[in-house]
Amino acid sequence: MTNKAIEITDLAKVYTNGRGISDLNLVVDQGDIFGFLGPNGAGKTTAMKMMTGLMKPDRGDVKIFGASITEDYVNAMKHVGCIIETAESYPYLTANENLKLFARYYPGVDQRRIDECLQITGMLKYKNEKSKKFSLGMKQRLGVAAAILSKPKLLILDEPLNGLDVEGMLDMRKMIKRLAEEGTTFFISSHLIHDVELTCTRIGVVYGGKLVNVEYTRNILTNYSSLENYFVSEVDRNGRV
Amino acid sequence: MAGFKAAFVNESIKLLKKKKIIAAAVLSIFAVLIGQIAVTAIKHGFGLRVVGSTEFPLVVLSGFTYTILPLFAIFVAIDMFNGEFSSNTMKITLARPVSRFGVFSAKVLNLALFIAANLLFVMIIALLAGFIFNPSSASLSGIVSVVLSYAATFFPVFVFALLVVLLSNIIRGGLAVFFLSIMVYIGFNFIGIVFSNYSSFLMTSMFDWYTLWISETANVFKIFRQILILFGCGIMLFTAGYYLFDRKDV
Repeated sequence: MTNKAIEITDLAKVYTNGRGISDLNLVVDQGDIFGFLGPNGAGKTTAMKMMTGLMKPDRGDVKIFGASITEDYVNAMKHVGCIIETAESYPYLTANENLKLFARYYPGVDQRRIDECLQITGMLKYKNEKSKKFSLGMKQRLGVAAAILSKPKLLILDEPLNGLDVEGMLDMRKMIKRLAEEGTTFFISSHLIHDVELTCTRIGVVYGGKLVNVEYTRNILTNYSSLENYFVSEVDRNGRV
Repeated sequence: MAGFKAAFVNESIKLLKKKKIIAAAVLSIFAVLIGQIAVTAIKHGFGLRVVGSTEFPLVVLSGFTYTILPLFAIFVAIDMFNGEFSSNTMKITLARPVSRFGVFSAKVLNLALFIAANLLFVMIIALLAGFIFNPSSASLSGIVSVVLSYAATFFPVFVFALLVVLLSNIIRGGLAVFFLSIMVYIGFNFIGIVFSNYSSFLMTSMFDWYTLWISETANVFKIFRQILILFGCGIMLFTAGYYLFDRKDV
C-alpha cells in the first residue's frame, strides 16, 4: 500500500489561447493538507479538473492512492470527495434529495450519514428545501456536505471558502483540521492566503502554468514573516512585475 | 459496470422530478382527447363510422409518433446532456466513482424508458377511449395489433433520439441542438418523400413501420431488413455519441 495520496507525473493541458498547465510533477503524501496557490489563470482549476478526471490531459497521468485516473477511473475516485470550480447541486431537488443521489455511489452511506453531513455543515434545518432557493454560502455548504459524504480519504477542494460567511469559514477550518487528524488528506486551492497559512501543512505555488515551488508551511514561516510574503516573493522571482 | 445502477436510478429520479414529464403526459392526454372528439364529431355530424374501438389507438399513434413523441424525446435528450453541461451539474455526476460509459448508458437507457413509458401511456388512454366510445367493435386480435404497433414504434423513435444525443454531444448550446434536430427531422421526412427509394435508410420514414407488422400478409423479409438497418443505425449513433461524451472536457 502506497503512502502517496496523489502522484502527478508530467501532467500537461494547454488551451488554444496558450494558457493551461504543463510539466506538473507533484507528490502529495497521505495526511498532508496541501495548499495549491497561484494567481488567477495560473492553471490551478485546470490541474484540479485533470486530477478528478473532468478534463483529459494532453499528456501525463495522475495516480490517486496508486490508481490511475486515466486508466482506472472508478477505483481512483472511490476514495475522493471534491468541489471543483463551484459547488453545484440539482436546483429542483432538496438538500436531502441531492445528497441521496450522491449516496447511491457509495455502499456504506445511509440516511444517518446524510443527516450527519448536513449537521456538520449546518444545513440540517434546510434539509427539505430545494437548493434553487439557497444562497451562495448555503450552496457551498451543501457542496461540502456532498464532498465529505462518503468519508473520503482524499478531499480535493477548489476555493472551499467561496461565499462562506465568517462563521462558515471558521467552521470549515475546524472541519478540515478535524478530518486531517482523522487521517484525511486535503488538496486545497484558495485565494485566501491567510486561511491557507492557518490550515495547510504544505504549499505548492503555481505560476504561468508551471509549479514553481513546493515547501512545508513550517519551513516557509521560518524564512518569511508570512505566507503572503513568500507567495509574493515566489511570484516576483518567476517573472511577475 | 461500476456505478451504473446508481447512475441509472439517479437519472430516473431526476427525470421524474422535472416538469417535462408532466407536460408530456398532459399533451398526450390532449392528443387522445382531440382525436376522440374529431372521430365522434364525424360520426354524429356526417353519420360516418371512422374507426372502431381498437382502430382508434392506431389513428392516435399515426399522429402522436410524428409530433409529440419525437418532440419530447428531443427535449429530454437535450436536457440530459446540454442542460446538465450548461448548468454545471454534469461534473457532480462525473466526479463520482462511475465510468463515463456508465453515466452515458444510464442516460440513454432513461431516454429509452421515457419513450417507452410515453408510448405505453398513450396506448392505454387511447384503448380506454376506444372502448368507452365504440365498445361494440372491440376484439382481441385488434388489441394485439395495437400492442404490436406501439411496441414496434418504439424502435425508430429511440434511434432518432440517439441521433439527438449525438448532436447534443457535438454542439454545446441546447437551443442550437433543438433547432438542428427539428431541421434534421423535417429534412429526413422530405428526403424520404422525394427520394422514396432510399427512405428505408432513414429512421424517420420508419416511424410508421408498424403497418408492416400488423398487415394481413406480413413481409417478413422487409421487416427483417428494417430491423437490421435500425440496429445498425442505433449502434453507430450510440457509439459516436459515447465517443464524444467520453472525450468531453467539463
